[in-house]
Amino acid sequence: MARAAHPKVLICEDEEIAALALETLLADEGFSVAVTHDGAAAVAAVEADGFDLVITDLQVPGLAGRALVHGLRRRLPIVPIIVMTGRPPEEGEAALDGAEGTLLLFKKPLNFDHLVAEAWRLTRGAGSG
Amino acid sequence: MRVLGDWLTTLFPTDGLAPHGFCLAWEPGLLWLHVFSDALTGLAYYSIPVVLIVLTWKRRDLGFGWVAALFAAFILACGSTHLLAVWTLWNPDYYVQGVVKAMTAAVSMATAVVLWPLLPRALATPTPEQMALVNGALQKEIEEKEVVASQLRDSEQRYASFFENVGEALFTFIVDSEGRFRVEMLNRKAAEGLAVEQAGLRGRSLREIFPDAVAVVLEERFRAACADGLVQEFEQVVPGADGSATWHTIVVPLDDGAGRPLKLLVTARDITARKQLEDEVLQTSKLATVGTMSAGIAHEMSQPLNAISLWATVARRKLGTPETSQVEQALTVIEEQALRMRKIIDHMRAFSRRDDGDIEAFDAAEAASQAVALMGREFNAADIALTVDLPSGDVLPVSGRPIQFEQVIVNLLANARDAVAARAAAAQQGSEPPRRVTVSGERRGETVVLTVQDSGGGIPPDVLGRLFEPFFTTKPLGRGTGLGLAICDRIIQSMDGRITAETVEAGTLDAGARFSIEVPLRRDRRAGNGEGGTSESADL
Repeated sequence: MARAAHPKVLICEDEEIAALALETLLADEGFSVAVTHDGAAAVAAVEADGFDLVITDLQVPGLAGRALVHGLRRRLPIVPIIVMTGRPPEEGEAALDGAEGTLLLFKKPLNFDHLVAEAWRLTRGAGSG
Repeated sequence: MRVLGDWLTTLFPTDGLAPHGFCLAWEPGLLWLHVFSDALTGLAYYSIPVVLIVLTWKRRDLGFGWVAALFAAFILACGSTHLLAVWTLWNPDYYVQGVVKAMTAAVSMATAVVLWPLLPRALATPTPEQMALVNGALQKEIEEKEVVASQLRDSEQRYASFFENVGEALFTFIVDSEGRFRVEMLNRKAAEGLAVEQAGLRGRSLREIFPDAVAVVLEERFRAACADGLVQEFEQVVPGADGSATWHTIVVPLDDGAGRPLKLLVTARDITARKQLEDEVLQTSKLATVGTMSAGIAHEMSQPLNAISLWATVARRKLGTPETSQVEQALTVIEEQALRMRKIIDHMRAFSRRDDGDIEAFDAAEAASQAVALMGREFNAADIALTVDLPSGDVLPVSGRPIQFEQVIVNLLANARDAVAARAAAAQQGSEPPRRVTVSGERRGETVVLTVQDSGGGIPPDVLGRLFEPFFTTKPLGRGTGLGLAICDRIIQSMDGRITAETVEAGTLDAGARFSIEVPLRRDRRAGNGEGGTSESADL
């Protein structure tokens, strides 16, 4: 499987120590990683720059939950989003999305090996132009 | 008769006088008519004084003794004149008769003279009819008194029975000359409470009937009651053979009307069961609060757990590579995050512990922040903006049990969140109300004020009055215990503070409820008090 070089990933996680681990692991995997710590900054980041994947916590300061997902989607309608949450909505992914574009829910604590496999799958073909 | 005749003849010469019978020409019929009439009249007269004497002797209460004596003399004298009239029929002793008549006249005059002034007194003497009436009235009065006395006896018996059988322990204590308190009376419940024979306790002193530790407290309270004449009310834990009991005691000093303490009326009620029930309710409410917080706690736990998991992956992947410093960093993070989890667990444990610990000094803002930390994520999840405006650096020092205070803030936050979410869910499209909750704290003089304000529409006026009543809830069955705010009220009261609720911005989109907690500033931080120490908050 040919891997694209350095797909661009945005991490939005208010737990800085967790964000740092994710950043380290994803960078080691070969992703090009940007990190924000609140929802509003994440939306601003996707408006300023394009990303191949957004990995975000659901309950972050600034803008959270459904509003955050909608904010991201407004700029990048079809970007795959991985939502990490300690408290997934009862209705699952459907509660957050409804529009086109992939949205995956990952429960915390994260299984990184599983997460990174999905990240590669979702960004296949990305980053190569 | 002859001897008396001779003696009279000597004293009063009768020479030349004819017996009176001569005047009657010794006519036998006429003679005997006079003899019989005078003799019978005389004898009758002689018998009357006897009656008078017997009467005055037996009824000295009549008060006419000497008048009766005068009467007796008068009648005796009259009788004598009649008998002498018989005598003079045959013997012309007219001198003797004259002298006796003169004496009779004297006695008669005297009697007549003293009798006249007696007339009003005699008239004033009640007649037997009047006496009967008075007697009847008296009799009636006596009967009525009997009835009252019997009622009094009944009443006394009733009260004695009431005293004896009432469900509270009752004592009366008297203060002896040495200032010691001695049992005067006690009822059955009191004897049961002391597990002793009732009869043997009368006259015993406090220290003789109560364990020392209990007696010391009672004595102090008794003295205080005697000193200021005010009722003392207190709760006391009394150790017993089968566990300790809590007694609620009221001491009422009774004085002698001049302000000197005479005796003490003591009522004591065993409130152990009520206390236990209260403890249960408090515990239940705390556990309900833990339930309220559980989602927030789960999130709080998942954060460090997530960090541990990710850093464990980092460590595993770096193991065996030259980047040993990253392995070290990962392990350090794992240790730190494990510690963070332990703190959350400790906090939860404190929350669900039965004993909230002793009253201590704490920062109200710090306790509120703890509550916010646990509940904050809930607000994010519900898309509610939670604004926290709490000063840091022990600006809001208070005295109480921090866990309980935190429980209050958690409850208020949960209510605020529910109110905002419920209003948002019911809102029409296009007129969505703001979704925000603000927690703020400040110091106003010697009072610490914390407010939790929401945009949940406010509290209906009919609910406002009952808000802090136990078991009052507006939430659907299974959602609220109705204890949350009642417990909040009790907790804040135990800190000598108060909690109030109001609706702000009523009628607008911004309408919401504002709960204000006002608690006195910790004693050692008040103006004019340099000393440390905790407040005398009531036990909860």
